[in-house]
Amino acid sequence: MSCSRNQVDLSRCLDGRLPGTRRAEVMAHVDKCPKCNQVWEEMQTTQSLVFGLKQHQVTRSFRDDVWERIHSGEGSPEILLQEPITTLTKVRYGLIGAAAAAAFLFGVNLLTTDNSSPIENTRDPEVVELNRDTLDNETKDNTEKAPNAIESPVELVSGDLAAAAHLATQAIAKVASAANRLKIRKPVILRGKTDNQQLWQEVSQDVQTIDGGLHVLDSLQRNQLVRLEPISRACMEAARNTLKTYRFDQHLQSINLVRTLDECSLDGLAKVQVTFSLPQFQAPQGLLFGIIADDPVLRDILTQLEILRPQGGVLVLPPMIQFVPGAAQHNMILRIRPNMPPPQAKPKPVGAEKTLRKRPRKK
Amino acid sequence: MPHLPHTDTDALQTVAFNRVMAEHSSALKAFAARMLGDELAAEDTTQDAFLAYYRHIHEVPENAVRPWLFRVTRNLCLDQLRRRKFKLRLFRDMQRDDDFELVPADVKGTRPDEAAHTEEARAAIEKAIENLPPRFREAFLLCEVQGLSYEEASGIMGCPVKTVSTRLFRARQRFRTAVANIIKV
Repeated sequence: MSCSRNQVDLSRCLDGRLPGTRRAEVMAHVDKCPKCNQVWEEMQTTQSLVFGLKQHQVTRSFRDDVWERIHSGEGSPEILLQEPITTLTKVRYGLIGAAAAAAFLFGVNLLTTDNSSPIENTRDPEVVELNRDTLDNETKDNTEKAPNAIESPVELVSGDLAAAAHLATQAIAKVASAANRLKIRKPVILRGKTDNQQLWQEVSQDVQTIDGGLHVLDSLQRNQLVRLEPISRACMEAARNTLKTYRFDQHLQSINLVRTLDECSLDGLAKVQVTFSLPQFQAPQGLLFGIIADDPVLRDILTQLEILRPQGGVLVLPPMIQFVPGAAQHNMILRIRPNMPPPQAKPKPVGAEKTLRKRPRKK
Repeated sequence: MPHLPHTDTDALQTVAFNRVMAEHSSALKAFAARMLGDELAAEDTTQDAFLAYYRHIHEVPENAVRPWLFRVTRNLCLDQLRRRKFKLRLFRDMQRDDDFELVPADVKGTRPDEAAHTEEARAAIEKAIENLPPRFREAFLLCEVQGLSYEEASGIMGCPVKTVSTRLFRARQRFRTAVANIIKV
């Protein structure tokens, strides 16, 4: 037991605020530790000193004075209204009022400013730009090529951006809740596959964003997953699917692949940065998606659980979307594993028949 | 003097108010005096607190009068300290010359509780309390001196119970150090 921690408890012990068991522990420590023993004694002594302090008696006329002030109406609204206001006070309130008015006008101006101004050209030369039409065409092509391709986990719902932002906030809360549960259940998770599946079911009930992952895994098991090339197209598709998940895609103005961050591939996953813009979107302050992907502990768990979101040949962890308040463009980070090998049915272990062969009975 | 509606109080209310004054005025004044370090200002502040109580007498539950009065007094004291901050800074240098070392010569070798009875030792203790930072001082005064519970102090100070506990510990620590330097504990 550390002495500093013990001394904090000694203070509580002095006020009788320590539970019995803890008190016994602390006192046992005090008996052994000379330093804490001295502190304890000093505490008791100083308390006795404080008890000996003189009492401050009010003056004899205290009660009469209070009543006099009450009868004179001091502090009552009627009297306060009659009091003259000094020039300094007037000036002070005038300045405060002016500042408040200026702040209000500034706020109104900010709110009414059109955010759909042309996006500044700040992209890298390597940027692959895909506008909405191109993306639609690509999606169409992919659908034609692969009729059994993965479907979007969430249906498109028409609505305004405020509603979408509200949904996104709700999704964040759900993700956070699921993340907490994952953290709590970590020891259980690592036990076996059965637990994993059970957890999967629980999480998928809560998290809208992972719900699609279950569907994807199902498709993976049935060898229905379609690989798309090149990787940029797949990334775009994954990004668009994510935006669709959060119902932002109807307002999507443009989406750009900025770069692939290969240096961040310690776990075999690469990072891809994508920017996108939504017209007239008032981004909520500090809105950040992808809490799961950002947490290293949970990332490990997710990796072990194989909670990965393969979409079109790209293995995508729950992406991190960052809405920058007041900015025309927002960021999305996708964690991908390029060139993911197609899933194959596990071959039967050699010698399985041998193990099943009955042994001859000994006579 | 015009007849003011708020002076129309029934006899029961007057009696109740007088009882509250008799019960809490000394404790409130002691608290204010140690918060402000000024007896006269403390008396005025206590009167202000009772004035405020009179205006809200029907809104304050009977079992919560004490914490309510302490809360009002504490706020009034902090308000005064804030206003006096500039003046205090101005006069600090002048006051420094007047400070004297409070080391009673005759207390050496005597028991601390006996030493506390001497006037100088008392002054030293008061000085140690006065030198505590306001946040620690209010926790110390409410819990240690006035004997309020952590919960009541938490309500008065507007902070969690845990914070009260921590501030009280820190205050005790500093107070112990300050007092140990003056009186050999």
